[in-house]
Order: sequence, then C-alpha cells, then structure tokens
Amino acid sequence: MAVAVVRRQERTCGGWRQRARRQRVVVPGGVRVCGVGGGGEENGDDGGGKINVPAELETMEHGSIKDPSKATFSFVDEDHTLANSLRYSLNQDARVSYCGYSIPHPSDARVNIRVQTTGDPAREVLKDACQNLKLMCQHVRSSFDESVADFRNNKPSKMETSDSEN
Amino acid sequence: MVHTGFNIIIKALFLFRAFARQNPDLNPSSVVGFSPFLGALLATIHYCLVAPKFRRESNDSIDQIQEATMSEEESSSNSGSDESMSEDERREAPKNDFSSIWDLPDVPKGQLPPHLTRQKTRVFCKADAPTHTDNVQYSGAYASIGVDNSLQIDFFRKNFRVEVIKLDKDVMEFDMIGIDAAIANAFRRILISEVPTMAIEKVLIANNTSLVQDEVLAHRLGLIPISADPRLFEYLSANDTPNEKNTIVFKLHVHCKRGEPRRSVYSEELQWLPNGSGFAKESERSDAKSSTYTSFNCSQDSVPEFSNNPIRPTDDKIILAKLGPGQEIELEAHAVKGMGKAHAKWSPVGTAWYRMLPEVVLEENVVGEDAEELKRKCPVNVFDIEDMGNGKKRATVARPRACTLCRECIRGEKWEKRVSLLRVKDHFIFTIESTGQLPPEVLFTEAVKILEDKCQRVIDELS
Repeated sequence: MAVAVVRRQERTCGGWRQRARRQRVVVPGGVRVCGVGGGGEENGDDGGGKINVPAELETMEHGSIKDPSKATFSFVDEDHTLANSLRYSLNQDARVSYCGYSIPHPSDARVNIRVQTTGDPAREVLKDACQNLKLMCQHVRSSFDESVADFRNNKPSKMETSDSEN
Repeated sequence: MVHTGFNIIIKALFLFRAFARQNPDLNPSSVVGFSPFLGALLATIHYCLVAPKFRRESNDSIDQIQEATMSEEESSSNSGSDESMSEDERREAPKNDFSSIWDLPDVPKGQLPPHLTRQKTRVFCKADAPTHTDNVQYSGAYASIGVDNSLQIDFFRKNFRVEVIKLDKDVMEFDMIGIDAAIANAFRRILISEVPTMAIEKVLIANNTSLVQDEVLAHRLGLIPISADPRLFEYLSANDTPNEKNTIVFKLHVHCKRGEPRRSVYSEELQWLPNGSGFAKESERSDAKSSTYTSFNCSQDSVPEFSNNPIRPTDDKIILAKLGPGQEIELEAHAVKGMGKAHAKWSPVGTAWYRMLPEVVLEENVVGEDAEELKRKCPVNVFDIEDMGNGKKRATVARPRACTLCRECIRGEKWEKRVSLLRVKDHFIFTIESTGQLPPEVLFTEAVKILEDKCQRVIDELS
C-alpha cells in the first residue's frame, strides 16, 4: 500500500501556491521506487524540479495564499465512492458556502473537490468533513455489529416469524 | 400584465392620434421618430408607478393593479397618476398587518412546513416519472426561513439504526435507517470493487491436451472463488517474489485414460499445496540448486488458521473442463490478493444492491368495489381488504415493503389521485450476496473499514 510522504514544492508566482505531495511506494525488501536519482526528497529542495516524479502520484491543493478559504483539492486513485461521500459530509457543515466534485476524465483515477467556505481555511474544513465521515462510518459499523449480534441471539424466535417481505 | 400592456399601446395610439390631429402638416419621418420615444416614456412611467405593486407578496395585488390602471385610464393623463397611487397605497395598507407569512400564529417556527418535509424526505413515484429525487443537502438551504439543514454528528448518531432482516451463510438483507444515499452508495461500490479477496492469477500449464484452450482454462480457474481469508495475506506487487505470505498454490492433475468414458473436471480436484510450487524452474547454471516458482519459507499449513481448515474452492462442483479419453491436464495455479476494481474475479460479492423503502399511501378512502379492484390489481398483494361491518369493505395497505413499483395501482386516471407511491429517502434495504469467501456481515464491516481508511488517508495527506 502506498505511504504518503510530504514533499512540499512551493512555487510562488503571482500569489498562487501549489502544494505537491508525492507518494512513495514502499515495496517489501525496503527498495524505494521513486524515480531516477531518488533520495533527498524529504527537505523540499527540488533544485529546479529535475526529479522524475511520475505526475500521477500527486495530491494537490490548488488555491491562493492570500485567500485560504477557497481551494480545489485534487486526489489521485479516487472516484465517486469517496468524492460523493465527502461532498455530502462537506455540505452538512455550516461553514461551507459551496462544495462540489468533478472527475476530469473517467480513464484517469483523479477527482477534483472544490470547497469554498465562509472564511475558514478550506483545508481545515475538508479535514473536519473527513473526520465527520470517519465518525459516521465508525458509528455505522458499531450499530451494524450490534444488530447482527442481536439478530443472532434472537434467531430461534425469528425463524418462527420469518419472511416479513415477499 | 397583458391588460396593462394593452393599456400602454392604447394610450400611445390615443396620444398619437391627438398629436397628429393638432399637427396636420407632419411629415411621416418625424412621426416615426417620435412614437418610439413616446412608447418608451409611457412604459417607463408605467414601470415606475404601477409595476412596484407587483412586487408585494399579498394576494390582493393583482386586483389592485388592475384598479390602478383603470384609474389611470380615467384620468387619461400622466399627471393624475400620483394621486391614484397614493389611493392604492391607502387601500392596501389595512391588509398588510404582518411582515411575512412566518409570523402567522399557526406556522411552526424552526421547522419546515409539512409539505416541504414530505418533499425533502420522500421520492414521489408518479405515473410518468419520479419527482423530488434530489436530496436537499446544502446546510443553508432553508436559511431564509430560519430552518437549519445542517446535520450534526450527534443527530446522526441518535437517529441511525440498523435492522437485520435475513442473515445466511451467503445472503444477508438488512435495513439502514437514517443514512444518506451518498454513503449507502459508497458502501455498495466498495463492496463490489474494493474489498480484496484471493483469486487465481497465474497458471503454469505443464500439459493440456484437452479441448479447452489454455487461456480459456486459465480464465475459468481465475473465476473460482477461493475460501481463504484475504486479511491474512498481503498484496503481491510486480517485483515481489511469491512467498507464503502472498500466494496460494493449487495443483490440478487429471487424466482421462483410454477406454474410460468422458469425464468432467470439477473444482474439488484442485489440490492445495501448502509448501509452495512443485514445478522446478529451468536454470541455466548446472550447479545451481533447482528453484521453484515460489519461495515458501515455511509451510502455510503451520499457520493455525489453515491447519484445521485447508484452503479450497468454496464450491466443489464447479465444472472446469471436460476430458475425453486420452486427454490430460497438468497445471499449477497461483492465487494472489486483488480487488474487484482490477478484475471481477476478485469481487467478493455476487452482487450487492439496495433499494429505498416503499411507502404506499391511500389519499382517499377506497371502499366497496374499488377496494376489491385495487386488491386484485397489485401483483405482490400490497393491499388488503378490511371489513368495516355492515358489509362495507375498505382497502388498506398491508405489505408496503413488497412493492416493486410496477405502478399498476396508479394506472388509470381515477387511481392516480387515490394512491400515491412514495419512497423514503433515508431508509435503505440492503442486500448482500456473498460468493462464499467471507460471510456477508464480515464483508459489510470490511467495506465500512475501507471507507474509514480512505478518509484517514485524505486527512493524512492534507496535514
């Protein structure tokens, strides 16, 4: 499974900032697969951007330094599964004035999530939405497990009054 | 509005006629130049004085505007319109005691009116198409009327519940109440494509003289569900060596001898090799130890989970091939972990689907002959007849859950207003049909865990 490693690539030109995060694939055996001349990526020195990072392995935030309340987050290896759930969770937050997602091309596994808030930085709001979604999932899981346990305990009596549908 | 539009035209014509009479020596070009200006002047005056009355919300506005225009016509000149407007205002004032409809005493504050709640929580399945299918998700959707549409996590916790209806070795049906379609769909998608399983990926064929081609046989082998818990294995990536942690090896050696009748090759004849591959790799160096295609460090048998229940296909009687006399198959199959996204053989469910809870509402009392007809029309017996005494019969809704939305009960004009078919938007009836590798309740739990992991990954990448 991919492990995320932070490699910040800050190019400021005209007030726009792109934060690039590259994923490092950890292969059993400890071999690092990260392109020619690999290594030295921890401390952000890109020396003119010559490192061969495969462009697909980037999660980016497109936004402005001056106004952190609006940003587009681009995730790779994601699709409607996460994006729609995140969009739902974002909408429930009262700080969000606009949120949506799009898939630029169905062949690329890439999703752009747009968040515009009423003042709070968009990244924090997105993180809170993810956190909320996680809490929801945990609650779903615990309720489900309880229900299944209940059902199994009551199964002998349920078998007599079976088939409520059909 | 049409009435007042005509007024403008009529006024313009009258004024033009008066103007033309006074100036008989006009030439046409000056008149043509003048009348649009006149029309514009009249329209502006009309807009400024009369039209604002349209913008008021009271229901009497339309009558009053008509009265205002008629009074303008009577005065027949623009100078009299000021007085007519103040008259109108005085007439309207007594009717507008409140500032908005929400101040009326019997409107509940902080809640939506019942018709909006109904639209928000139900899909109306009409005869031609369903309506109100969207979920109103935006937290500020009802901000102008003071209703908070945002969902707090506590509210979700209080209202969410799961009820299990059926739970088998392979099939499970349960209800999820209080969740949104986006999350339910996410679970369904994950169940189909992102819960990992083990399936045969590489097939090393030593001998195949059957009528089934190599690749067809390999494809069929890949589709066999293997009952091994995928959580005990790791993924095998391209430059990994196959070892006991990421590969399961099966062997198949069948032979139909001459003189024997034709026979089928079943999946039960796949033998598990807990010690790894038996085929020796050809090595160019003559002194090297012969290596096999896998390098197992220890036998998979020694792991407690597998020592008592060996790894085998979930079903014994899957036909792989058919052999005639003299035909033989000898092969070794390596199974690895994968996700349904890459190939459907790795999908742990036959399928997983959900539907919203149907709700059938009788808008009017259906009695007598109509009740009998309604009961007969429904192919799944949603309706029932209730005897009310005195020989009177009335139709009731007995089994709304069985409704398949065939819309027979609303076919015909008189039935549309009597029966309404609804779907409850936050009540999902989930059905999961597992292929047998993992029990369905475990599958659902894994799917939820995977969604949590995705969220965690996003949080990690953003921090």
